[in-house]
Parts: sequence; C-alpha cells; structure tokens
Amino acid sequence: MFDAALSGLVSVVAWPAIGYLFLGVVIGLYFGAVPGLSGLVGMAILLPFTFSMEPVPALAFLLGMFAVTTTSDTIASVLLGIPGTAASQATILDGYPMAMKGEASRAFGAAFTVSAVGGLLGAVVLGLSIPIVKPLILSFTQAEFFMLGLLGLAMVGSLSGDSILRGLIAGLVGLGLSYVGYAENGAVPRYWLGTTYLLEGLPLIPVVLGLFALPEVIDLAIRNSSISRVPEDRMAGGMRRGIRDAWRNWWLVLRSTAIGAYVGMLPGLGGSIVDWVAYGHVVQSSRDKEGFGKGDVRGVIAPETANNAMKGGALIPTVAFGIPGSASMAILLGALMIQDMTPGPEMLTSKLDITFSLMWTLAIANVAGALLLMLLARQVARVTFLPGHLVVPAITLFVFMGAWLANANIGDWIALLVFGLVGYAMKHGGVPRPPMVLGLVIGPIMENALFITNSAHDGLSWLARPICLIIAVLIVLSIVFAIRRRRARRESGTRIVADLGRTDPTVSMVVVGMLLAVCVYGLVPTFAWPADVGGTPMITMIPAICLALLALWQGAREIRRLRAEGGEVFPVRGELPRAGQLYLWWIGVFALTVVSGQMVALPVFVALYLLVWGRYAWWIALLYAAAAWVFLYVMFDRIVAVLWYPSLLFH
Amino acid sequence: MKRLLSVTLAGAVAALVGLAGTAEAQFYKGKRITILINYSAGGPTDIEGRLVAKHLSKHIPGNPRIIVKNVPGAGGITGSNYMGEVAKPDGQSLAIFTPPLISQVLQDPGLRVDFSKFVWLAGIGHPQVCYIRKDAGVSKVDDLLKIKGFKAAGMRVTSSHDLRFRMALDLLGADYKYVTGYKGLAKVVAGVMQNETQFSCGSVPGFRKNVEPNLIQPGHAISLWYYSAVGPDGKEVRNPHLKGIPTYHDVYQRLKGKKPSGVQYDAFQLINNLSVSMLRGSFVPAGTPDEAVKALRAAWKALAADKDFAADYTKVIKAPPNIILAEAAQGHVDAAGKVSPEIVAFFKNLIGRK
Repeated sequence: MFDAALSGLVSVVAWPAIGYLFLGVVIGLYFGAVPGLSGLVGMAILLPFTFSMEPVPALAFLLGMFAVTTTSDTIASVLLGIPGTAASQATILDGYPMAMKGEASRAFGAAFTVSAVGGLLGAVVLGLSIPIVKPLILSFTQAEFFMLGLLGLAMVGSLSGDSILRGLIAGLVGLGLSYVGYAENGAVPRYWLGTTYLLEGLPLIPVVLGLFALPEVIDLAIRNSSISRVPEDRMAGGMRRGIRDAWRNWWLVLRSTAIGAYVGMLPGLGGSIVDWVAYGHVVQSSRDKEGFGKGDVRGVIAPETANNAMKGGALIPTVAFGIPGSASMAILLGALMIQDMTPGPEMLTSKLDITFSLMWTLAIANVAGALLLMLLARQVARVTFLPGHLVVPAITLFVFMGAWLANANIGDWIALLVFGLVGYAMKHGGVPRPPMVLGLVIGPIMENALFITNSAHDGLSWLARPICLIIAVLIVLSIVFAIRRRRARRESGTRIVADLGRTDPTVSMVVVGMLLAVCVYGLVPTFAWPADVGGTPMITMIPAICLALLALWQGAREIRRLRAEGGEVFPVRGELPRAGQLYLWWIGVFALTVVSGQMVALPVFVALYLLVWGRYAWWIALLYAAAAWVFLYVMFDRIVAVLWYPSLLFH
Repeated sequence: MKRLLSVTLAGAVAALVGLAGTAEAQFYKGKRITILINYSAGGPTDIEGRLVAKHLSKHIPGNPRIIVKNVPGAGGITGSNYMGEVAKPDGQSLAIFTPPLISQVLQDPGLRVDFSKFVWLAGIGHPQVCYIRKDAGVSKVDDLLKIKGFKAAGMRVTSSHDLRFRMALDLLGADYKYVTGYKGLAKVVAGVMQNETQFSCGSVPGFRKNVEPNLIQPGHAISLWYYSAVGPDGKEVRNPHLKGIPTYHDVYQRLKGKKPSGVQYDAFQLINNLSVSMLRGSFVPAGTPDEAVKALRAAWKALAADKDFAADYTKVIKAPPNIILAEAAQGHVDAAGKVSPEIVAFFKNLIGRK
C-alpha cells in the first residue's frame, strides 16, 4: 500500500505528467471562473487530446483541470453574485454580501484556503475509504435517495431566514418547477406549454442566473453604486483575515469536507446540490445565525469546502465500480478505458498506483490552484470598487452567455429573463429564493427515486430499511431543532434575514399571489393525468396553495397594520420605472440577437449602455464594446466553439 | 499577343477542367465542419461522436477543421429539430446522433422533423447483452421461465431499451415486474448490484465496463442472451465478439421449441434491427450540395476501413466499430417511417399498459 502510494506520487511529479497537471490547473481555473462553463465542458473539450497520451499524464491533465473549477468558481459568486459553476450557488448567499461590505478579498482568502483544504482532505478520504466503499455505496438504493431528498427539503427552514412560511411556499413552487417536462415515469409531458424546449425540464443555470444575478444587476444599474458599499480605502479585512477565518473555523471545514466527500460519493447527487447541503448545515448548526445572508464568512467557508471535497468522493464509485456519479465522471471513465484500465477491483489491487496517482493529482492541483488564485485575487477583487455603470455591461455579458451555454437555445434567454423578473420581485418581496432553487434541484431526484422505490418494493416495506430509518430520525430532529431555535430566538427578540433586500409588503403580496396562481395552474391538469404522472405534482400543489392563502391573509394584515401606523407599504415603487427601463434594454438585446446574433447584440448593448446610462465618453464605450467582442470571439467562439443563435442576418 | 491570349485561354480551360475534376477535393478546402451531437457531453453518444470526429477529417479531401457541439434535450429530439429547422444545408453541419427513430414511430408531439428527409451518410450498430442475477433463481438460461416476479430494470417507458426487453420477455412468457426510471445504463447496473432489481440489458461497452467486472466475474449474475440483427434474407447476423453467449433467437428456439412470429415479434424485430444495426446515425440536412455528400460518404467508407480508428474505437468502446454505409442507413430510416398502423398501435398499447 505504502509502496503504491509512493510510486503513484513519483509518477505524478515526473515530467511530463506534472507539466500537464499544471496546464490542466490553469485551464480549469478559467473554466471555473467563467459562469456557464464548468468542469464538464472542460472535460469534454480536453478528452480527445488525451487519446494519444500515456496514462498518468492524461489523467493528471484531465483531473488537474477538473479539480480546480470549484476553486475559481468562487470569483464570480462573490464578486458578481453569479454562480461560477452549479457547485457554488450557495456561496452567493454570503459571498456577495461580503463583497458589498468591501470584504471580497477576505471572502477569497477564506474560500481559496478551504477549497485547497477541502480538496486535499477529499483526496485523503478517497484514499482512506477505499476498503469500506463497496458496502456503503451498495446500501444506498433509490429508497435511501428519496429519504435523502426529504432531508434536503427539511433544510428549507434554515434557508428561509425569518419568513419560514414564504420559504415553504417558494420551496414547494421550486418542486413544482422541477416537474416541467417529461414525467419521470411516463410518456406524458407536463407543463411544457407546447414548446420542445421545456420537454427536458427547466435548465438550472438560466433559472439560477435569473433569480440571483439579474436582480443585483438591476440594483447596480439603478443606484450606480459600486458592488462594495464602502470605499476602497476603508476596505474591511484583506486576504490574510480570510485565511485566518478559515483556520479559526477548522471544525466547520472538517464537517463540510465530510459532507462534500459523502455527497460526492453517492452517484447522481453531485455538484448542484452539495453546496446547498453544506450551507444548510452551517446555518442549522450555528448558534449565532444573525449574520447569515448578510456576509457571514462561515456561509462561504462551508459550501466552498464541500464543493472541492466532493471531487475526491465522486472519484470513488467511478474508479471502484465503473459507475460514474456525474457526466464529468462518465468522461473520466471514458479516459480510463482509453488508457486500457478497467475500473473495478483491479484498480484497488494491481493498478493501485494509478488510483493513488489520481489522489495525488487531486491533492496537488487543489493546492496549486488555490495558491495561483491567491496571487491574482487582490487585483480581481478591485472590481468591487468600480462604479456600477462600468460593471453592469460586463456582468450582463457573463449572465447572458452563462445562460446561453446551458442549451444554446433561445429558450435559455427566455427562462433567464422570466426568472429575472421573478427573482427581482422575490428579492424585494422578502420571499426567500434559495428554497426555490433547492426544490428545483431536489425535485427530479426525489420523484425519480420515489417512483422506482414504489415499483421495486412491495408497499411501504422500504421504510423499514435501516438507513431509511436513520435518515427519518435525522429529518425529525432537524425539524424539532429548527422549531426550538426559532422559539428561543423569538423570545430573545433577534431577527435574521437569509436573503438580501428589505421587504416590501406590497411586492410580497404580488409575489405570493403570483406563486398561488402558478400552483393553481399546476394543480388543474393533474386530475386528468394518470396517477403516477399527476400524483407528485398534486401533493406538491395542494399544500402550496393552502400556505399561499395563509401568507396572503397574513400579508393583508401586515399592510393594514402598517397603514394604521402610517408606515410605507410600497417603498420599491420609486425604483420600478428605472428597473422596467433596464429590462426593456435586455429585451432589446434579445430582439437584436434574433436579428443579428449575439456577437453584434451584446457589444452594441455594452456601448449603448455606457453612452446612455453611464454617460461615458464615446471612446470608452467603443473600447469597452470592442473588448467585449474580442472576448466573445476568443473565449466563446474559438475556445469553447459555442453554437451561436442562428440570426436572421448572419445565419 | 495572339499567342499570349491562346496560352491564357488554354490555361483557363485547363484550370476549369481541373476544377471540375477536383470539385470534391476543393469543396472542404479551408472550411470548418461542425459535428452536432444530440446528447450532452460525456454520454455514450458524445464519446462515440467525438471519437469519429477525431478521425473523420483526414478522410475528407481538403482536411477541413472539425469542431464538435452538443445540442442535447428531450431525449434527442431537440437536436433532431435543430438539424431539420436551423442547420444550413451547406455541407458544414453534420449530425452524429442517436436518432430517436422510435419517437417518430410513436408520433411524439415534440418531434417536428421527418428522419427520412435527411441525407444519411452512415450508422454505427451496437449489440446488446441481457443479464440476470443468480439469486433470482436462475443458474442457466433454462431457469428463466421457472421463476416468478423478478424485477426487470429500465430507463423510460418510451425508450427502445425498455420496449425491446419487455417484448423479448413477453414473447418468452416470462413472469416479471417492470421497474423503470433509472437515469442511464450505469444507474441500471447499480440497481442490479444492489439487488433492487434483478434483470436488465446493456450495450457492449457498458456490459464490458460495468456488468462483467461487477456482476458476471464475481459470480453474482449470468448473461442470458444478446440481440442479433436479422438481415433482409431473414438470417440472423451473429457477432463474432460475443462468442459463448447465445442470441435471443437461440434462446427462444430452445425454450419454446419454435421460431418466434406474430405482431409482437414483428414489432420486436423492428426496434431490434434499428438499435443493433444503427444505434448511432450520421446525416446532413436535405439540400446539402452533392459534392459535399459524396465527399462525406466516401469519408465514412474510408473510416470503416481505417485501422487507427478501429484501434482507438476498440480501446474506448470495448468492441470493434460496426459501421453501416449510406444505403443501409437510409434503408433503416425508411423502414422506421413505414411502420404498419398495427405495429404502431401495438407499441402505444404496450407503453400505455405501464
């Protein structure tokens, strides 16, 4: 064993493997930093280059790239409020508020440190858990997956801050959104509005970008404030402070590593969920919750540790059984096969040194990636101090391209813009957005698992499976604790806000009313569907409708009370015309794209925005637009070979 | 002057003749071909498509630059609509798909194109092997009809994977419970490893990668049969790389003592032939210039004989490439377009019965 570990290390640090590893790291940092690109895209692009390489360099190249995408994805999440990859959605919740407080560098210091530690420990977990891996994975059947989904939903409470009622509604609507497209278990498409685009379901990334990123862009454009609300000279806490934060929270880092590694190990859960689980855990387990959602560094540490630790975990089923947990792992599996290695018991015996070389690659890449980013981060963090009007065009470009990369379909932009409106309204209405994303992510896993479980087991006998019982106990405990904590907090009079923005009671009423309408619309057709197609939507929509009615009644009371006290019931009203104007501009980008494609529409937006909204000189606008065009051409057309919209003019 | 003119003329004529002669050779010079794949990056279709992409260019005169793009969604339908409605017929958009031909047979509302309208270049076939856990009570294929209520794992009621094994088991009269919804063949194998289900089938790459090392070699499961294609002469085409495993026809003959027949068998054979001979299909949009089609068809033909490609492919897919050329591919697609109403009704009934 020790010999194999050593020879694995020697083979990785030997030339050319180490060179490919570092090349992979640099490429991976890029793929993680650009929203919409991810380790998966990188894997698909790099795979053909490894065909003719030796095994260790080939795997070092791929895995070095793959390891660090979840390190650099923090950059966009913290600076711009856009998730760099699906695995850093939860990082936004506290990372972006940190940037607003002028603490972007601190967030980076903490995030990069824990990414390295998490990745390193994840690799160690990979090495240590090889003996116990088989019984562990074999004991998680679909029944256990369903129970895990329920456990995830029980976290809605901790992701909702003060408004648990509205959080529950948002979570249920999120579940409802996950039912769009072909039913898990039948040939019946649900809620597809007659468009092929929706047959495969709502894509996660455009929805998340709409819900979280567009509302922030609107606020930046309206107020022309820099992302950081404090000036650069009063910048609070640099990178060193972040690194110290990471070490001070070592126990949290260890727990998040365990969460990441084990979620990664279970096939099919993976990246888009691990950050939420870790974030839910840190909020649930902390005594002082007041800071979460307002820039608590622990809210960055937990998801950023977990999403790097996940990768070591994800390798386990891939290497040990040839069962890839995600599409990226499927590509890695392909790479292993190309190198003439059969995943399975052999990887733990005669090819153990290769398995160890994978572990070493992960470890080295994680540390190297984090160090490299720390060198760059101080400059990158400056973005937060630029005036809003200079940042808006670049963010718009990233958001629109990030959404476009989901399917390269104009539907991605429609989803983005629709959920941008929803997100803006939710933000100002105090309806928490994270539960909606959680519902959207967990919904398909749960429905699928429930359906298979129901047909593979007789009756409810599966509930008696030991792991199911353990998870059931965890669910009950987490709900009981949430209620007790809440009661204690109410008595002590503290309030927490898990989502940004002040609550506007009128907007809140509108949002809840809208969600109610969506649920009623969703409920109606379920009666006509067969039970295995309509059942899950039905049991989602009915409680959602009841809760929404309750929330409307509460909201009406609140407004009446505010009126009586002479308070303001519709504070956002003043901002709406400007927000609507920016939205019209974005619809203009959409329309111009239909006519002449993104390569024209996005640079034109950049130039016009700077001239009209920002009142910058024409040459700045032109230079910025030209840079945007070059960026689109080099990064998206040449490197990623993105499929552009087939416009009327340049088709 | 006159002489100069005639020389120039002669030169021009020669150039023209030369151009005509090498129109194919010139067509792709300096051009870029986009290979479209109708499933997402990393899946089996994608891995195979990218393998072809890597080797195809050197067989096309002019050696165009090839790039690969994924148009995933709706079980392969999104990409199919894209090829029919958006892709330009300029010879620079080429599909390597797992064509959802069964969606066309079932008249899926999302599918807006007719596959027989495309210009087909080639296809790649895949045999599929079925297996069952021994602790379900089966130590040899003869035991299959003696056990009751074993669970057969599938992915989606409308997938050809599910339809095929349901018909195969129904034809034999096996007593089984159909469990479907697993996301991909790897998850199916995991379910069988967990004994959540006991029976399923997988194409050769998956069978070699997952099923053999985890189930067959440790002695947890046995392989039952593989599906063979049946040629136009009614004879089945055996696969030399699956020696030792009987074909479905062998098993049927052995257990039932006769050859299979009837509507259900015709329906089975239709799906089976499509998947075994042309699981992947390559085509260009209707209206693509002739010289482009000629060059691409010739390239596929050369690819089928390319030893480097075969070696690469065998390494990744764990079976040698099984390429069919343009005419055969077009034939399969046309057959899928002309399915009798009786068989369509049979499929719809089978799907509705779930």
